[in-house]
Amino acid sequence: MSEQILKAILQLLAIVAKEDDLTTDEIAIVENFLAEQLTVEEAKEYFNMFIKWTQEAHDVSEESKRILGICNQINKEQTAQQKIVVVLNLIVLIAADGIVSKREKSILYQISDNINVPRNVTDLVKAFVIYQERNKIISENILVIDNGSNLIPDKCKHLQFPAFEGFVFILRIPNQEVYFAKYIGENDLILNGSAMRSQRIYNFSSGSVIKTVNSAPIYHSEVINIFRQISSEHHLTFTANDLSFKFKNGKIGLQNVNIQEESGSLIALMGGSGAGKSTLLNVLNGNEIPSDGSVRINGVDIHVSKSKIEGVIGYVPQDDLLIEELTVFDNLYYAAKLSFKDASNDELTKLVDNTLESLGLYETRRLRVGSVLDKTISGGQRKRLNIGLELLREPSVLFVDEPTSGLSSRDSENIMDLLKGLSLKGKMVFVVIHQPSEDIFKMFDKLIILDVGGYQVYYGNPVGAVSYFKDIAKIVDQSKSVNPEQVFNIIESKVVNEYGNFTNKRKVSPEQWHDYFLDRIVIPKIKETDVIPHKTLHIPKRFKQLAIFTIRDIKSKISNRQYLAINLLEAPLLALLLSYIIKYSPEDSGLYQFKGNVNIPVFFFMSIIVALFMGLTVSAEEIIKDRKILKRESFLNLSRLSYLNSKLIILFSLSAIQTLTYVIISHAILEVQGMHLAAWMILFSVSCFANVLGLNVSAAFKSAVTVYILIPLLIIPQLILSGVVVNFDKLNPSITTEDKVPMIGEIMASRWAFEAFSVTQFKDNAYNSIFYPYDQIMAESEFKTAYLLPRLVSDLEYIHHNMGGLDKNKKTEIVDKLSTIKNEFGKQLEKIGFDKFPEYDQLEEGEFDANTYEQSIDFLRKLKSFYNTKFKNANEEKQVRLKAYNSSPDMREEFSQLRNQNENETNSQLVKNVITQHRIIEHENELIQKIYPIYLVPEFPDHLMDFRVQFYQPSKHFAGILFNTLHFNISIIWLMTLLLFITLYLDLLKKLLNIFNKS
Amino acid sequence: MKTTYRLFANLTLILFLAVGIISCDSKSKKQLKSETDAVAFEEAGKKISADINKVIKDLPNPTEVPYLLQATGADFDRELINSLDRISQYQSNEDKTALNLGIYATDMGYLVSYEQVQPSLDYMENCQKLAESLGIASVFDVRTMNDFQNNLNDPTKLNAIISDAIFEAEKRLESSDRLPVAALVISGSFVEGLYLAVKVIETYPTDILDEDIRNLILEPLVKVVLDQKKPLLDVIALLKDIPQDDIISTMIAELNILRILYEGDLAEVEKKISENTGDFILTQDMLLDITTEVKRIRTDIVTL
Repeated sequence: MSEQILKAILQLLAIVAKEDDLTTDEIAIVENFLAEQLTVEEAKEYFNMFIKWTQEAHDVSEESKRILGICNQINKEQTAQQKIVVVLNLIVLIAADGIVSKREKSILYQISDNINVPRNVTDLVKAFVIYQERNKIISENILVIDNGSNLIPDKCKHLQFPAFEGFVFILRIPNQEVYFAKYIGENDLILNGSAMRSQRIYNFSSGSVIKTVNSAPIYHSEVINIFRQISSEHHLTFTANDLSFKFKNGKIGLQNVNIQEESGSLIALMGGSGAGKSTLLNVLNGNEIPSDGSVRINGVDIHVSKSKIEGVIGYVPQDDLLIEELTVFDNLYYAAKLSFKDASNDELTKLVDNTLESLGLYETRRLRVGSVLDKTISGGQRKRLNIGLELLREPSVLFVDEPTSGLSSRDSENIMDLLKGLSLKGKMVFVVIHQPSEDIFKMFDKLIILDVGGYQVYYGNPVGAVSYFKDIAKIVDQSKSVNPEQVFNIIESKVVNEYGNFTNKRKVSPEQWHDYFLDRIVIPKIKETDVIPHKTLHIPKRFKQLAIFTIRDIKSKISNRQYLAINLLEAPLLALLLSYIIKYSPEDSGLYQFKGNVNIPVFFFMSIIVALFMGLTVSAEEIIKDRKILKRESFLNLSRLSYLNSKLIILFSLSAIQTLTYVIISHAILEVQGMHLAAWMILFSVSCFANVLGLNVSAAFKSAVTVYILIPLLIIPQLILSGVVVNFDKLNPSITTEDKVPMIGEIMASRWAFEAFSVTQFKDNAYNSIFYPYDQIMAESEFKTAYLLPRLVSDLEYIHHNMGGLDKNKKTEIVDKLSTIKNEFGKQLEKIGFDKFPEYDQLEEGEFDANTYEQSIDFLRKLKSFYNTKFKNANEEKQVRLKAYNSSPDMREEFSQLRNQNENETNSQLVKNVITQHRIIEHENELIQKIYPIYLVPEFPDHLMDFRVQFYQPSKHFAGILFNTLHFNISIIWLMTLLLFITLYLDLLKKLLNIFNKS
Repeated sequence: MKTTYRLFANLTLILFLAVGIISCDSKSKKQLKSETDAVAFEEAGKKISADINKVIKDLPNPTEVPYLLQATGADFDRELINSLDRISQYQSNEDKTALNLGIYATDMGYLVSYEQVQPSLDYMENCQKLAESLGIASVFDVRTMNDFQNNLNDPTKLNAIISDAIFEAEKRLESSDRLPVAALVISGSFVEGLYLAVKVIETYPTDILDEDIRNLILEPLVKVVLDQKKPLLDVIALLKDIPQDDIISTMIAELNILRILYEGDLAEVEKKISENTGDFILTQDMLLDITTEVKRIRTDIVTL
């Protein structure tokens, strides 16, 4: 209390005292009041001041002005509770002579009005001060403690101790949680270590205890519980019965823990390290399932009927749950938005502002939370904000894990005040706490002590714990202080060996302490209510959650300038760098031509790798970063799907922007024409694929470092199996498929993307697309006449010459060749009709004879003529078109420009595959065309769903439809993305890793 | 959880629908059996004429003239051969492609005979491009290219590889019923051979050697030109033997001009040389007419 305030109060007292003659009683009261606040010397000084003021002239109008001034001063500095104490002192002074005059009363009201103490409170205090008889004041705010032999008005609360002598009245000031005690009796009662005098009024503060000679001590917590029991609308019971818990590795975490609590208690969980405090907390809050026993809130088993108690439990873990990029306000605001679906934005803002005020964080509301290393708010403020996240929705049962660790004692006290306040409001608060100060220790209503191995060794009042253990350990100690450390010193005290050194052996083992506990402490059974626990949580629908998550994430990302800048500049920079480097033109010609740039396939390939890399790195940390927040949100039963979708929305948008800038810049530099949209679609799809892949990894692994180490493992197979770096025909034979892209290649997004790139570039560019239909027929005919038909002819000749032979090897070869011939004939006949070659069925061993041979050769000759004609017709048409394009020198120039700007020779060579060594191969009795894949339309799928073909084929077959390669490939990439999203949603990778971890 | 699975099922369905929609421009399933193909097959069957295979044989070898030129000791002159600059323009016209493939084949022979390794590789690569646009990529396959690269220090072998490849190309064209194209390749190759020979003679230095010695060197060169009479007649015969069209007729007309020269002035020169009277002195002027004509024809072929 400041000097000024003390003076102000003294002046008020003087004004009141002046009203009548100054009696000795009054003087004693003032002296007492001063003695409580000051040293003896100072008290004397102030008392003289007081006497001087009482002797000043008595002027009513002057006085009321002065009262107003003094009250204003008090309003500025005193809390509501302190003001009530001021009022109390005034009343005590006024009533010292036993009479309250009219004038005294009016001054009293004048003062109490001016300092905003409600009249009913003033009246209540007045009545409490004046009346000595227990039956004169009838109020629900009065508790009478006696031996039970007296009649107490019904309205009053009553607490009975059989051996209690006299009465103790306790007055509760509603809404302020201020308690006053008054003792009437002859015996010596001890309040907090000093004697209680009869008729005097004492402040009964938190942690207070009244001790009597022959009765049990009266604890503050006990008293307030009596007041609250009925006033609380949402009655709550919490029971844990014989809780046991075993870890997955078989270690025992908890043994037969029992708890019986009712609303309004602040419960401390204490124990040495490894005793199982956090385990107990996690079992009690439903995060872990007990191996034995049950936890019930209002009779509802929280592990069985989770949905019934949804939102009833709140949990503040030791870790930070804050989003570092957001402001203090936003952190709470979005948490609130996710908790109350029906609240309007104004309501939410108000709620958050109120919460911030009650947390003492209002001033910092606009500050960014910042990381632990880059602090903008203090550790204590962080902790309070963390609790604030739960406070918002006022859960009925709150679990807080080590809220004070690492904080200054001032911050610790602030936080404990906050929690105490919650418990006083009727909530139940469990706090795991480590080495609390004496003050904090006394704030708790109940204390649970666990010892190593999960044994419960104490359950009861914290202040009583010290004497309980001292008693068992038979320690004689006069100190009155309640030092929680002493408890642990006793529990863990070690045996001393003969040299006087401590050994590792404990004097009393955990089991023994547990036996003592079973022996000495009886946990009073409470009656479980069947009221449905009050719910404050109303989580919004999934779609709304999605919107909230998305906005929250966008906001946090925008506030991180560095992140934004890097992500937005990365793509254009890479595009610039890459395109500039690979913009090749032959040394002798100074002119750059798209056609002659041999690096275009490399460019496609690098673009894909860039998209993969950007997609992966941007997403790899996403979930890891949010891990703790995610845990909290799953605790609140918020939708994981919405959360993941919000990630997708943001990452996909980012990917879209990145790939778009990349395509625009790189295409401008390299003069790529006519495929901007296709290129963007491919790269965007790849990037999205990488995003989801990254999220998978991010969700499965515990640290960002691991994830970044994993990135090469994800990228390199994509690199190798893209079809560019290594030819699919030249892999380890055990994984190749001769007539198709090998399976291991099919699962690579890079392969689908690259193929889409090359095929689209070749087929759809403005130059090639003119001639593609003709070129396709010509290429088909060329292959048939130059490779397939001669091969069949030579095989037929071989069979014809060796038909009658006895050589076994040759025989099998003939059978093999015949079957190939039959297959290939069949394919041809399917197109032109089986009636064209009636001998088809004779292409079997045994049936094949000279006539068949002649007919076959003749058929092949016809076929050759057929394909030659096809070629010629197509060629003719092509030449006509070519001529049209070259009809004048200007047009010729234009046409050559068209070609130079649109076709890329290197890419053409790649997709035509003319450099392959084996242009036709035999595979499983089929002759496979390896040259000109770009012109090879898949005609004979193995089955309806067979879509696998060779690399660079222009279309894909699926479900009876031919799809354009570009569209098909992009769809495949999206299908893979969807698949990855499902594994992400079901967290399959993590589950898989867990299986490995276990084994 | 159940609703979630349903959600995924729906998503998958949507995805498939989307695929279907974006693929609307894709062709619907190709009917394997095609009536037009069946009819075309019948037609093609009837057209087969007996033994067309005998036309191309004993025709001039593209590497022969260059080889002879080198053997006479004439200096290499890069300016003589056709540059690769216009290659992509040729590709926009099949006739030009065929003729110039022949030209380049002979040029390659010239390069190889003078052991010009790097340029010969460039020409080889470009010949492959021309062959590809003629639809005979099969000719210059990996094996041919590898053979070529593995024998870079052996001109004889290289000449053989080139000759084989060109012969193969001609045969491929013939067997795919495209004799005119093959004939154009042959014509191109022949014209370039003759062109190289007359150019070597024309550009032969006139002032550094005395007449006797010069005569001694010129004589084999002129002989090379004179010896082209038989191949010329073979080519003309081939051209006359195949289906006629504009380009073939033009080619026949052009070559006929050369034939007339061979049968007139050149026959005279040949006679004098063979008589070997001693007082006969060969001069470049004697070949003036044929030089002019060959240059004209060749320019027509290589320019567009």
